[in-house]
Amino acid sequence: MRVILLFFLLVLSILVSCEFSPQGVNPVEVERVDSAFFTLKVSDYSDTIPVTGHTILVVDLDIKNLELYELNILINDQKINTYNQNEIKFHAEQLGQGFHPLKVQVTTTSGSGSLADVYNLEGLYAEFYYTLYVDIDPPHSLKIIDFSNENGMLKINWERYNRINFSSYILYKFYNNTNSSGIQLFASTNQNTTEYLDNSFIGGECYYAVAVVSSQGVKIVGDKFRVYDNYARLKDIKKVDLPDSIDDSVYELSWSKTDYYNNFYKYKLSSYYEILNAEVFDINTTSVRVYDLPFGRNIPFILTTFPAQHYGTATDTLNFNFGEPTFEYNSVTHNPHNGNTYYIHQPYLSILSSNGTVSSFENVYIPYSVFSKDKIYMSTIDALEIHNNVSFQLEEKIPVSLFYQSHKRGGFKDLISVSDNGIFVAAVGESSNNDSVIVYNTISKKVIGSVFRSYSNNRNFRITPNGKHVILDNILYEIELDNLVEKLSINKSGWQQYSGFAGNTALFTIDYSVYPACVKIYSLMSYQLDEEFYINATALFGDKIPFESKILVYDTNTPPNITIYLVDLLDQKSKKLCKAFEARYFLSQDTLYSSFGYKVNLNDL
Amino acid sequence: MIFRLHLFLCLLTGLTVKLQAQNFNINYGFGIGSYTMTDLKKLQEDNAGNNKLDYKTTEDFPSYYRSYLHFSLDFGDDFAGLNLSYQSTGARTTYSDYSGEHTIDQIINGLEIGLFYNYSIVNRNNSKLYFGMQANSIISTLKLKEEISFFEQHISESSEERGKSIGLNIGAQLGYRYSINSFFIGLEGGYVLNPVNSGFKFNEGKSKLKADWSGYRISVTIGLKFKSGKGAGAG
Repeated sequence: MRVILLFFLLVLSILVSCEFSPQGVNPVEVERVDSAFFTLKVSDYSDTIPVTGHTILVVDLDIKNLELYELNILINDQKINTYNQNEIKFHAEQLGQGFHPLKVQVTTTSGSGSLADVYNLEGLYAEFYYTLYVDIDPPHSLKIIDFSNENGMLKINWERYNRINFSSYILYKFYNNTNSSGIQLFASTNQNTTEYLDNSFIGGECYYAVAVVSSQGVKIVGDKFRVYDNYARLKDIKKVDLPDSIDDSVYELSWSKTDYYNNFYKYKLSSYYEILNAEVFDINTTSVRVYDLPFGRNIPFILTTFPAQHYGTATDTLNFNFGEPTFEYNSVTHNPHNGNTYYIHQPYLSILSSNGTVSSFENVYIPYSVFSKDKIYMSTIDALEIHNNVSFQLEEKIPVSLFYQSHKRGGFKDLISVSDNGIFVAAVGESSNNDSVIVYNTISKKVIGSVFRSYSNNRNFRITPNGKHVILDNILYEIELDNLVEKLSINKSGWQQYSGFAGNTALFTIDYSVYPACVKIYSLMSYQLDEEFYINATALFGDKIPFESKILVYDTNTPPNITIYLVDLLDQKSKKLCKAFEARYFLSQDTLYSSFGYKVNLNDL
Repeated sequence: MIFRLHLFLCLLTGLTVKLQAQNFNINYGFGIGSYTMTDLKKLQEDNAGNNKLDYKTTEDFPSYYRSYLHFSLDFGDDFAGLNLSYQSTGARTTYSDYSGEHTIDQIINGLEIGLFYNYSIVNRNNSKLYFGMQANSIISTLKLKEEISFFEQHISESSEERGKSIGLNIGAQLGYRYSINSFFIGLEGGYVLNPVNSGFKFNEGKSKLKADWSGYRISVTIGLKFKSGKGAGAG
């Protein structure tokens, strides 16, 4: 029995040990991959990445066909969590000024195809290193280095801003060195742009400053840099000899050419008294002719050169004095119906009393003068925007014969009268002092009177009616003439005859640049003449004035201005054109009344 | 294992009782069998094919050793008895490279308990040529084993899952036995058909996966003959 049991146990052990045991291996040759061959770029930077504000860095990772396991971004060894969709986002202020290491850790599959690779237990790892340079400090100021004339334009050079927190340059231009704000000429976001061609510079002096704007929007303006260079200058004014012309007062004003020819737009020439007002668009033209120059005062000529940009002009002034004074002559209407009211805004002025009121007027510049029997009272009123009546008082009773110089040229104030002995002129210069006022006999060329005393009534008086600014200069000159009664035989009654005919008086001007003795009045013209009258000049000016010409007179209730031409008796062939006369006449029945107080019976002509 | 041992002892006890009254034989057979295992081969193919790597199947349920114990009553020309057999086969799909190794094994064991009947076609002297049939219930145990190792990472993991099923097979066999005194040796061959099998039941649940033990069998056997009463050959 034991044998049987032993047998069974043996069989049993065989049974349980007979389990199938699978065998076999399948070794596959797989090439190991040990080194990473992928590349990484951060916003195309190779090493140092500038950071100035809110920053977005684009991570361009090329891992070929591998699978990315993990990508970590570390700044200052601190992993950042703002990496998303290949972009790293942060702000410079989170880091602070200076350098900060940026590390990019990349882990991918190995791509070997091995068992471990398939089970993501094998990979490649690489680190990429960059340096973040953070610049958030305020920008520093820049200096303009120099300037030059670059092919007729002004080139400004300034320092390059080398820091990374650059945003833009702004170039300013100033016309003086005060604290006034400049004009923004130019702005550039190109950091390498360190020059600018200014086409608004035409020479002369101005200032430039360059500003730099940082990425944080902070703007620092550098010091002003003075630029001064040659500009078009007035050189001379010379008389032009014109043999075929009777005009002997033609002058030529010349100037130097601007060096900034590419910026040139035009020359503008002007002067006081409206003598010259010209524009020259040809840069090669460097002279203009000037006509009708007044005598006896400085004439400032002004040359303004305009660049292509109409700001930044260069201006030059040349003063010129033509010596002998030249005068104008006007008469003033006596209007008896106006009482003590002086309507200065009217073309004519009459003064009936030493006490009066000047009614409101606007933008009128009226000097007026008064002759008395032995004195001349002369007053100037320079007023702007006077809206209220202005009262003034003359010291003396004033005779009714008045001579009034209407203002034609700024600051030009004359007084003139005519007698058998000559023409008398009171000239008031630019200044208001007594020395600038004289009475002058144009025939004898002698000063026959001077200011005895002057009165300043409300000089520099300022009122502000209705809130408006008012300037009033009222100066009364009392001029004492030598033997005035004998030399100035003004017919008072003559004016009285014309009373009631306000407006029908004559206005008469004479240019005395031609000596009266050599002058004849040979024609008189008007636009509306339908008949001609010749008046012997002697009848108007007296026998002692050897005028032989006749005057054409036109009769109308509103007489036109009549132009009288003078011809040199000594040289009639040349027939120089002299300055025109203007006169106004009134014709009543057969009598011609002139504005000078003379009357002419036409039947006697 | 305890289940099989328990079953074996029960049968042994029952047979021992019979030994008192019958001539009976007890023999141990050892041989080889082939197994169809259609479902499991399909599973193995899937294991190999679902990988990116070049897995190969090195074992695919090959013919493998089997052994059995027969307790039979000898009636002269025929003999019948109890069959207790054990058989096993399996499969392996594997891959290895420099980085690691991965094996996927299936091992299936079958424990048959059944009855057989052999009829002697020739029974002459000590030789007996016989033909027989058998019907067995078979308890199949399937082990799904997987091992993976990553050398550089020093990672090694394995897993095993077991499932059981039960089935029924029938077979026919032709054998020859030669007796020397109380011993006999023999050679036996046949075919087993395994038409009925339940799906394997794993811890996670029952699957549709079935064993298929159908296949040829060939074995050699050695046994003892016992006579009832006096003169029993072995005791």
